[in-house]
Amino acid sequence: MGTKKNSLKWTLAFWAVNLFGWGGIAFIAYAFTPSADGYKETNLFLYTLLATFGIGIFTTTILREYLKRITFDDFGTKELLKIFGAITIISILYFGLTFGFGYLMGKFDEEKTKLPEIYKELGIGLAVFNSFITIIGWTIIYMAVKVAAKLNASRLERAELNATVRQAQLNTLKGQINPHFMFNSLNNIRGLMLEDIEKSREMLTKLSEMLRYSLTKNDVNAIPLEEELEMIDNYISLAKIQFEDRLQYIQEIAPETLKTPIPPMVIQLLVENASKHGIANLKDGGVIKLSTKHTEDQLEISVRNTGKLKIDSKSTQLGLKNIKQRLRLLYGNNATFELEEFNEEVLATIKIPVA
Amino acid sequence: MSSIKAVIVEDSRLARNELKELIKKHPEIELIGEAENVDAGFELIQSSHPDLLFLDINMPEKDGFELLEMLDEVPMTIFTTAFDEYAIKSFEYNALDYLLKPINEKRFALAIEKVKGNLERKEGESNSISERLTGNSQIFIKDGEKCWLIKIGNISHLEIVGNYTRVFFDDQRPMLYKSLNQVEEKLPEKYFFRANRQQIINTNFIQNVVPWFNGKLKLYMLNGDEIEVSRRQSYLFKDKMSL
Repeated sequence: MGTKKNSLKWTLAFWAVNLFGWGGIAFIAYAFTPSADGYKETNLFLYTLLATFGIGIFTTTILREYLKRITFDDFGTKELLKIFGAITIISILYFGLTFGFGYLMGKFDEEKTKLPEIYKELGIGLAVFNSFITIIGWTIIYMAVKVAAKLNASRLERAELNATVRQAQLNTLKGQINPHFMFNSLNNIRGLMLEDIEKSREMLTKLSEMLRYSLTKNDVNAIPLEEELEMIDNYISLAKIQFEDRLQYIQEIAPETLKTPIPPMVIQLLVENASKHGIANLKDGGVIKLSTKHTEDQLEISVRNTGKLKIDSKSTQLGLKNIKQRLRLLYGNNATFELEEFNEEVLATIKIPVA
Repeated sequence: MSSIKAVIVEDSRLARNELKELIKKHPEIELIGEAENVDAGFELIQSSHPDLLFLDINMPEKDGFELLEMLDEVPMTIFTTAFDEYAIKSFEYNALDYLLKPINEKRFALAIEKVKGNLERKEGESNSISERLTGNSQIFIKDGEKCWLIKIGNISHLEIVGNYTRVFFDDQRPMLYKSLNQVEEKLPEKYFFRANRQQIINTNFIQNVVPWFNGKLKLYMLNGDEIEVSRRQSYLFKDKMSL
């Protein structure tokens, strides 16, 4: 609501509603006044209606100028007292103006006016009470609209904030190359240079590609599966110079899945987990098998590795939490992630909807 | 000075090659063996008694810390690790050295200098091969997330806690996951003394000895702890200290 454009919008809305409101009151007064005694046809009645309208607009505009300054950012007893004070002063003003008008009318044309008599019949107290009720009613409506607008604005703000936070979360969850893996790879390449320069050059290229991928896919939410597979190939090649004979890798990719969009770095994380928690813990190594297929309207990705599903007390399970959170942020409840163990094998399965 | 006998325990063959290449530039280091996992490393160290151990942290089945815990006497150790925030944190509490892979040659040379300095000091001591540790022998203790490499001579006293032993040195008191009796067998008899059923003291850390009731003795240790010597042990203690 803070911008100039918005405040102009609100001022226009206020004038429209306020004019319409007081006009409505004048109209209702006109409609409900019995025409039997001829009072309805007099100029005095017309003036009375115009005066009610004019006094209403005048007093509440002053009231609004004051109430505008009261915000809900810091609302307490003090603000409540200010509102009641304003209501009291404006009510007295409203009463004073209507009474003064009636008094003037009475003096001006005593024969035709009944207003002073009404005051005599009902008493001044009731007239004051009437003014109070009018102004309080007006204030309640005014404040209610203000509260509603404020709530709406903060709801929008919150939604906007959520979207920003979500994006930020996704960005940090995505594409982080494991530093332990990176430095081990660099060290292994340095060792490899002593025996095979050609292969070392190839490995450096692969490591560069991995780094580039993890840096550039940061702001992308989906890539074709085949692109991620290139990354996996790089990862496996580098893991093989670390584990050598201890790592065997098998890949079973259904050709129709190659173009399917997937969130980047998810399969990468699964393969990395299989290597870190599976193969790295086995003296004699083991097998990692990646397979993908379409089932109905879902893409099923599974990574299987030799080893046991033991939750290390040291493990923060960051990788798994990361995958779960990303799938939730991207697909809500339409994606699943399961991790299970049987026959000395760990199986991780992800199912995501195919768009 | 005689050559420094070193072993490498590291699971990646290429990383071992890389390390050997670095060692080549320091002819005073003699590589006497290498192992690709903790169990093979344990065998190697027990049989070859190296002066220096290059040790990787992440290895299959058991990690580098577990290897040190298995050893009664720990050689000078340099950890080699790629990136272990968790592990490196535990180094803050002790004198272990570590090198980050890929290893910077200057840092490697500095670490070797440090090892040489420590070994020279050690040479003053008789190098008799015995089952017992000497004052300069190091033991490794890992208690929770912290770990310590402690010189036997720096231990003030040890105390039974259930089946394990609490080790008092400097202002630290970590738990060693071995029984006091097991530890006692390895401690140098020259200045470690069994004060009572619960405690073993280092006689070099006694500040004051006071006669106590029933022929017992009371020891005031340098760190302010008070230890009561049982009656039977008090006779032995007087004998030992020629009181």
